[in-house]
Amino acid sequence: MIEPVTLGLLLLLGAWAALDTTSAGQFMISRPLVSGTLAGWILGDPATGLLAGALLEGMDLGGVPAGGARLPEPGPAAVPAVLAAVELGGGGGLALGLGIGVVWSRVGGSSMELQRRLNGVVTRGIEEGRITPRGIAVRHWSCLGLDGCRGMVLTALGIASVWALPSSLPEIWPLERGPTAALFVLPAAYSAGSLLRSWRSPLHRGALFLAGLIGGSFLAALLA
Amino acid sequence: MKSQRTLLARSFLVQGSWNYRTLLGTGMLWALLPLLRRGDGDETAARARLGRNGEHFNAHPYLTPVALGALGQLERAGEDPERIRRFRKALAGPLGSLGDTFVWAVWRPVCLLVALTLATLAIPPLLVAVAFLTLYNVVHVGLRAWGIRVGSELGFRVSEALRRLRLPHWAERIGAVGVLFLGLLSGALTVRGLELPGWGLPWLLGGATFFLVGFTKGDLFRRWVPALALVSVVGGLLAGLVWPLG
Repeated sequence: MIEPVTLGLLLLLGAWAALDTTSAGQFMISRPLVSGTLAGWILGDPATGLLAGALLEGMDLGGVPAGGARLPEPGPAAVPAVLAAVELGGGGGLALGLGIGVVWSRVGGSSMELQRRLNGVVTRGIEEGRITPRGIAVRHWSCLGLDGCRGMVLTALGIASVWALPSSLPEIWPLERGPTAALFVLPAAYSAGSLLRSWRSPLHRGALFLAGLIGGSFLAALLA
Repeated sequence: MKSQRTLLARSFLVQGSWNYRTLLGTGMLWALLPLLRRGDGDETAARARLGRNGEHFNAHPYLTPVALGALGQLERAGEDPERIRRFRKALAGPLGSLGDTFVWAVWRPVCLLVALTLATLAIPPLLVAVAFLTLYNVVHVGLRAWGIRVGSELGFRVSEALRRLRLPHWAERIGAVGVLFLGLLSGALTVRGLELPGWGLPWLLGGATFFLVGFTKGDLFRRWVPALALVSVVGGLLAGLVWPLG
């Protein structure tokens, strides 16, 4: 079980990540790479936070949120994912965390749709000029407040789902942490290939990719 | 200057009331409120001003400041309302497509690839997150500030500034850097994967296969990526039940 202060910080982080997804700022605190690392830092294990966040990020790479597209919301979902990875530990904790992260991203995406419908109800009549400036401001801030609450509730339910897992479940997982992480790189590899395809006409694509491949291998070997 | 700063600050919350009816419309109106309070005593004109600025509007959020700056300037100058309305409608499409092409399709994934490469090269976690946020937001905040300035200065003529910015050109150039970083990340991951005893070669083959399928099929199977991750979790647990460790 985690300290109340830690829990409070995780809930605030979830709310911030949810707000940052669309409503406020879009500074990309809502990317799982960032929210995951911050959640790990709050829990005292930023390395695990970064690992889980980066794997969730890899699966979501190249998603374009254009024109109100219906997409998952991985930012707040990274918080319970990292909590599971840190608290349960080992390969089992990481795998279950990523599973929770994937499911909670979808739940978050659906809740965002509901939020947008609710915003439509709250702001009804504004475009007809029927609402006073003060009324407009109150409605706008209400929508922002509701979105923050949505993020906090979403994160709280995600954390509760981690606590609800049977304690023996992580022990069943047959892989250590390294091979587990490697396993989840595979779906991310699909997203990466798809992203490369989407950049249709960058200059000298093949040569640049090859140069990067050689350079990356060399750097990783050097830093090993 | 003060009104530009106010608009810039409000532009960060412009999507706060995003909804399926007016999309960004109500957020745009809220952001413009300090500039729309003219106090000329004409109640009907004031209501019409509020109404037209709250109508349906969609654009990329980082380029919305261009519209905010321009509309604020035109409303204050008392331009013909019908002309403002037509301008507002005409501006939405280009601001959306330019922003999506540059920010969502290129700048964000490239910054993420840089961060993921740093993470694979064992750079400290918090440094990776800070490096990503700094790199990404220099352009993000810069675009917003530029948008308010050119919008406020040029009004109806903002399209000139948008053309001069050459975002599609930069998208192509930065996309090339992204390809390089995708290669760097793949190379670094390959070396890390081969270090896994007993798993290296099958993992490498699997990764290359997934990458190639992604490259050839594009977004066709993208929605199955999370399902694949979930199947891996469930499959792993079932395998662990059948063949327990130790």
